[in-house]
Amino acid sequence: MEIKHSLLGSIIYLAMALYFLSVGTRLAGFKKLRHLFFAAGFAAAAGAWTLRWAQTGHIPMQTMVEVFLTLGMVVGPVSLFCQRFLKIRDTLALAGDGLLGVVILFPAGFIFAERPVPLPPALQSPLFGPHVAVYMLAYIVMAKAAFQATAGLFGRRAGRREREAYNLVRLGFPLLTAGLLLGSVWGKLAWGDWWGWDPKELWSLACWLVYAFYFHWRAFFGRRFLKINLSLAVVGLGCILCTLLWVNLSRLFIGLHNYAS
Amino acid sequence: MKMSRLIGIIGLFLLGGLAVLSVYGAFLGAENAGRFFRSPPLAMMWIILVLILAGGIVFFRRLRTRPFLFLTHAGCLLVLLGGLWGSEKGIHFRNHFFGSKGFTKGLIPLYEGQSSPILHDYEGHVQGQLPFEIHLHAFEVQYYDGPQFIIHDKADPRHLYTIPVEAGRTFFLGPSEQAVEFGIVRSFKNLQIRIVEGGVAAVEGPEDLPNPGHEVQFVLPDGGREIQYVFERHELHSLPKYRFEVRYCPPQMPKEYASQLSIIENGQEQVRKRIRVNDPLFYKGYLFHQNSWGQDHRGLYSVIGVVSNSGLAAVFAGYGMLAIGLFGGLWILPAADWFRKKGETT
Repeated sequence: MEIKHSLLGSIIYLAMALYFLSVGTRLAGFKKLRHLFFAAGFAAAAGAWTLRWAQTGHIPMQTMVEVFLTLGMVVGPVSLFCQRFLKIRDTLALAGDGLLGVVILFPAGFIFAERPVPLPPALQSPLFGPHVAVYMLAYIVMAKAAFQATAGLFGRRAGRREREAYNLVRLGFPLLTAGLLLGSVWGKLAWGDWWGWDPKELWSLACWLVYAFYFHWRAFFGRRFLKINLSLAVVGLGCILCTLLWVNLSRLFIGLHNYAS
Repeated sequence: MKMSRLIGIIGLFLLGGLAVLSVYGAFLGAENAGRFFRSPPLAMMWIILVLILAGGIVFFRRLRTRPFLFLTHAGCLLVLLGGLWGSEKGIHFRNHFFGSKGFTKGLIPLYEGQSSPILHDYEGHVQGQLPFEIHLHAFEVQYYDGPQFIIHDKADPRHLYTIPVEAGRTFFLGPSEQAVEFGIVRSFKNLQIRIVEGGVAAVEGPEDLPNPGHEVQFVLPDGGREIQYVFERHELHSLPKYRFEVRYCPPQMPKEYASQLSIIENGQEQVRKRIRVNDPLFYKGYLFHQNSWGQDHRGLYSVIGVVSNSGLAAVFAGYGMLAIGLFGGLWILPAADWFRKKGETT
């Protein structure tokens, strides 16, 4: 836990504050003001992202700070897309988007160190940007799906939430797949193998399989077991979190598993 | 029970089971996970998965009549088939029954100017031979940072100094009133120390066995001098009477490493390419990539990774089908629907 006193840190905190204000204003019923704060939050996150790019000289998707900053920026366009095309725009969902922005930017602002790392040879590939970018988009969409699903599990209108979560998973799954496939092609070029059984690869595969299971389950049973459908969308996000944080989480397993050593 | 129902249940079971096994595999680490997923029971599971997927396409009408659903599932099937075909067991099976001489992967370590067709495994044992030779013309490593001297002052053990290895520059260590002057006196390609009258002296040895090193000098506040010899490829060389210990620390952050390779077949050069990480060479069903490098008494060597592309075409074709199937079914169809509805309401 550390507070960043740099310009980058300040802009991240500004973005968090603006996203937070968008939550408050929406809950208080100021719909237009919410949009204004949310848009400003996105602009600040995008500003921080651009600044980071200028500082490091490469697309900022390498270190954990950069990854969470990218996620915090991507929340903006994903929220807009879902309002416009998936009609997910009730108070809960919109307040949820702002909250998602705050929660995602928190690790960038307070947990991970800002020190830039030079790009190692393996990451110097034209596939680096697209591979990470589609994953970031997919993760945000799936996070929104899990948010709607949780609302359905513990709140009212489970049927409607289930449909919203399903539409979100349908939006996110091709992106998740694209990330996996691009990573595999990249692996072939950089390491010679299109699949290497690496823990991060296996977690990504597990995520993909959970959503594949979800689609098949829903295809067979439809909306007969709403709670199970909703739970699966939440389990999917759990796997995504493990994938995203595995490098950090794996430290917990030192001594138990040779991987960490 | 209807066949489609049975396939559906087994399919669901396999998807869920494979998700759980993937998480289990993540705890094993890459090497053990690879062994686990290649083990006979798991190999059986992959084959069952292939059969179930193929059965699904046969028994579920929707998977045949809806093009995007078909592409998605057929794509997965192709990836699995390509993976099985190119796997260690798949190649072993073909070698055994059809007398082919395939292998999955191996390493060729080469010094500059050397050629070899011999493949090693990851433990360094010889495991096979290519039908052609690989020749390494040149190998180069570039770094973000430079080499450094790490200096330990025994008189003040709280501090370690890191000083860039740069000839012709003088550095001052410690507080200004007691600063110690430090600098390189001379750098050598092959540093040899000879005993001469009254002490030792550094000389440049023959060039064929490089042993880079530096003669460095400390000038103490009282005017006393310490001359030391720092080898780049050998451990610390310091006498107890000295106040300072100097270690050579090579650059830590590689920016790029590249090998200029040729393929020599029947005495003729067939292809020449400068391979880098992310930019391999493809030749006759094999991929040659920049695996790693190392250094020993003979100097730098490049380790070329050789990987069979057996089954790769099927895998990548499967990827294409899977991507088209999913983006088509989950993005394009709903988008078309959205625009149609929008057209009707306006």
